[in-house]
Amino acid sequence: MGRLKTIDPATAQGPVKEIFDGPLQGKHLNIFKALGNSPAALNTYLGIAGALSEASLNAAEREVIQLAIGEANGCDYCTAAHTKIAQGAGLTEEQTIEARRGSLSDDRLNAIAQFALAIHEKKGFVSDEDVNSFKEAGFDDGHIAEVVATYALAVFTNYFNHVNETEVDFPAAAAV
Amino acid sequence: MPRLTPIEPESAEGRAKELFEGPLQGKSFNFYKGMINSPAALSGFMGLSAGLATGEFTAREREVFQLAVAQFNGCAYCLGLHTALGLNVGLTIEQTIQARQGTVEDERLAALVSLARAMHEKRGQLDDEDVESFRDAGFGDSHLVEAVGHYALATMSNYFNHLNETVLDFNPAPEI
Repeated sequence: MGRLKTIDPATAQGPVKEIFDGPLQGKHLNIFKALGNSPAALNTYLGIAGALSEASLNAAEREVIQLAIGEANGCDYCTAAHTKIAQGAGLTEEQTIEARRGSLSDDRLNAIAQFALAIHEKKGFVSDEDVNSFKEAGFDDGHIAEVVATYALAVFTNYFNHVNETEVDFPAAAAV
Repeated sequence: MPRLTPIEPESAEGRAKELFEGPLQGKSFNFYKGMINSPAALSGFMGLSAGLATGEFTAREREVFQLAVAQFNGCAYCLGLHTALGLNVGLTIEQTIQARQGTVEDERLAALVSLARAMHEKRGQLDDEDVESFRDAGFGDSHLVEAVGHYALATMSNYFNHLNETVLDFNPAPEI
């Protein structure tokens, strides 16, 4: 049981029901059943996730950030969910583990993980060297903004699942 | 000079131009000129901000929360911005300072600042007492969900402005 009330999609009413019957059809996960305590927050979460799906960073690249930061924040729910989602986006299981360890054999993906972890560890106060290394891997100012936005999305779910103590409804991620 | 090349409304093209002429009309702040290097990231930010504004917290409560977190993160840009926004929604200058110092007198606002501090320091891993104190001040599960959303919003703007070294286009917040 999570700390917050659980909204049951079968008995939900009003705006929450519309979300569960619409964009969340077939995705009645425990995190959404708790976020549904605030239709505004649930809508907002889906909105930012949707906006970032149009980013220059592709889905696999964004999943590297989610895995690296989910691990750094110790969010078991998030690492389990993103291990599954990342494989749907084209990462191998080995790459999901590498992302959580913060060191990938693919240079481009590794640069993303390194930059996201620098943002995490330095609370945004990254060095010129951090920025230059990221750009040298082929990324631009737009990608930089997207790493920060994806980082904030990760904080939203990582912290929320901590606050809620959400029960994991994905296969647990492998130990690293 | 900011780290990311600012995009000016006059020279913006495509999706960035649409954003400047739509939701950002009359609000071409340096923060937006930096983040709009990725229209997807800026759309995500705007959606998060606008969506949470339809939630349960009042505008004054939202500004108190933003001021508290910006102070924890040491974001001078965000403190200048949210001091101005806080005054616009009815906070006194004294209250904006108290929100940053954690000494706000109003019990409900004080409970909100305490939750923000616990969420920040414990990276979301709240103790039961943190949640109970927040509920005792009259807040519910919907507020708890939205507080995490507001924390993610603060993280996005605070960390982005750190990374970008965004030049302040507001009066600086008072020294404390």
